[in-house]
Amino acid sequence: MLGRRNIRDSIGYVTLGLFAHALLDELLEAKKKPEAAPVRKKMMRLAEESLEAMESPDAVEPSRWRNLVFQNYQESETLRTVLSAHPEVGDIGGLREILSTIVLPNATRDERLENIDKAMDFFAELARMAVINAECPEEQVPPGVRQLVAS
Amino acid sequence: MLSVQKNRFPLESGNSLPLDMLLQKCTAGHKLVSSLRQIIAAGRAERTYPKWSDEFLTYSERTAVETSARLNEWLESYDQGILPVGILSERLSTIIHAWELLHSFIKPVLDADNLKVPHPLVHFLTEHIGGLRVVAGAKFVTEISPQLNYFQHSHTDLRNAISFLQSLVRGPAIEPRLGFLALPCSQSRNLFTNCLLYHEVGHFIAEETSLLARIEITKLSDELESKFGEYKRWAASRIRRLMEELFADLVAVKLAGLAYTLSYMELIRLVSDDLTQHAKRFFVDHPADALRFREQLKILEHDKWGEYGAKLPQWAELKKISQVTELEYLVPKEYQNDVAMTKIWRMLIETLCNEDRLKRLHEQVDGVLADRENPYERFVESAAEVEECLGHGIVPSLERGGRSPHPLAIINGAVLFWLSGMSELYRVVPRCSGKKVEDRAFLENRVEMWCLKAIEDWLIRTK
Repeated sequence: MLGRRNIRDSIGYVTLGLFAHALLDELLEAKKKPEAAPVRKKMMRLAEESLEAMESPDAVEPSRWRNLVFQNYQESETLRTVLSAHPEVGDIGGLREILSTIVLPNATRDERLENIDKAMDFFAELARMAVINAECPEEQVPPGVRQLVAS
Repeated sequence: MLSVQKNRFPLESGNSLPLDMLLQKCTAGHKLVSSLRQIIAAGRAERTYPKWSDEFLTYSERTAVETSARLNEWLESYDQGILPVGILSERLSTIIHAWELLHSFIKPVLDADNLKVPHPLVHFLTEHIGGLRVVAGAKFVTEISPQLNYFQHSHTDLRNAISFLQSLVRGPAIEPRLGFLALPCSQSRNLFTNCLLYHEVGHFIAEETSLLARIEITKLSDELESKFGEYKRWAASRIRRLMEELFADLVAVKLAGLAYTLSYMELIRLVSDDLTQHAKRFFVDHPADALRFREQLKILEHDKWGEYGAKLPQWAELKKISQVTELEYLVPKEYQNDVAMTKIWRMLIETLCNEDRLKRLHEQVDGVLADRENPYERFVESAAEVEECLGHGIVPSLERGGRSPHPLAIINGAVLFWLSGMSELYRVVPRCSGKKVEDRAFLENRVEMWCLKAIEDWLIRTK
């Protein structure tokens, strides 16, 4: 609900939601012409690069980090939560592969469509989670943390 | 006429009237952005704003127009079966959140017109920071904050949010290196406490350079695995926040000099009689002041402020406050009666205070600010002139030997004069007693005004 908290604490979630929708826009456009590689793919490329940076940070140029997503705890944990609920996507590598297949020039129409649908399901869920989390941005202490010192 | 349709992204909770709901959401979004657009237009018609604040307001106005246009387009796309209802509905919520976020910046920026900000200081700060290699060309928007605390503002990492909003609504581009400076409304014309704005500059540089981003956090998470197991990322995120605060302090003190640390100490003194005890306490988002002062002192000593600072009682106090052993630090108040969380916080504090980690942080700051000017060198060039002028109630912009005091000399000279030289001024100003609160406040305000004028003079002569 608007006004229940300071929205500036939710900035990571709002950013993630906007990014997911900007990417969904590209996917919707790609779905209209699945026979060819999409023309508009800036967000898809950004997602790929950001996922690569999560997997192997050393592989990404430091000057690029400031533009990437999934850089803070809010964003990366939301991504992991959605990944765990989407076994068909697999892990971060699986999600990268889905996106790279969509933009691959020699992917078949069916391959591209299948991957667009998978990506749309995933990023629609990510966008939904981002909105939900933006409503309660307080970073709760994970319940299990206390168990670390229980003994 | 729009129609209700079925698709593969159903809305939650079995809403039977998605079209009504969508129209309602679109209307609410449109009303929100239109209202903001009108408020901005009215504000800009009545008042003038610092250049980059005005740019930000113009950007917001234009983005509002584009947002309204997209709301209509998206409804049409939905009607044509292109945009699924679930995605559209979530998109509308996201857009409203994005505007709620912008809303939280727009109002404080509208409050910060030219008459309410210490214009020369903000102008100099923009020149100063924009001249650094790592953030070359940086610009700052000024806000007036309702809170009397320079360290509690949420960070202004708006850049990515704005960039994705721009992509989504096809809005205008904005200055790529734009930071925000929040001035507490009661301090908006001051100089002394506004030295703390350099702390926000530190956060801005941390964000722009991504120094504490993914690669650092991944390394930190790996280090924390043995202590925190599956919660290593949570622990790393906590330590990252604390490290960023230290980073912002170190940047501030390296750029602004002793004035930053002394203004910081004076601010804390306002709310605590027992600085030594108060300074031991960690906060959830901020390291203990004792640790912050200790790390600032390392830079001050390296920059040679010790020679001058040793003459001040505040310097000895700073040293005393910062001599705290790791075990003496207190965990955040909200966890002090929670045995488990106290232990967890002890582990976090131990990790943060690791000597190698802090050394690396200093090295990072040194690397980022390799081309900065040492404020101490500027200060010693003109310290005597600034002190002499202020001691006689004169604007410290006397030109000697073809140069007038640099703003860094003025800022540091002003803070040192405020803390140790005001008695001289009470003697020379007739009918102003150092024993009356009103008289003291009057003269302190005058000193700040003279110094702001001197900074303005320097800007006019050199820029």
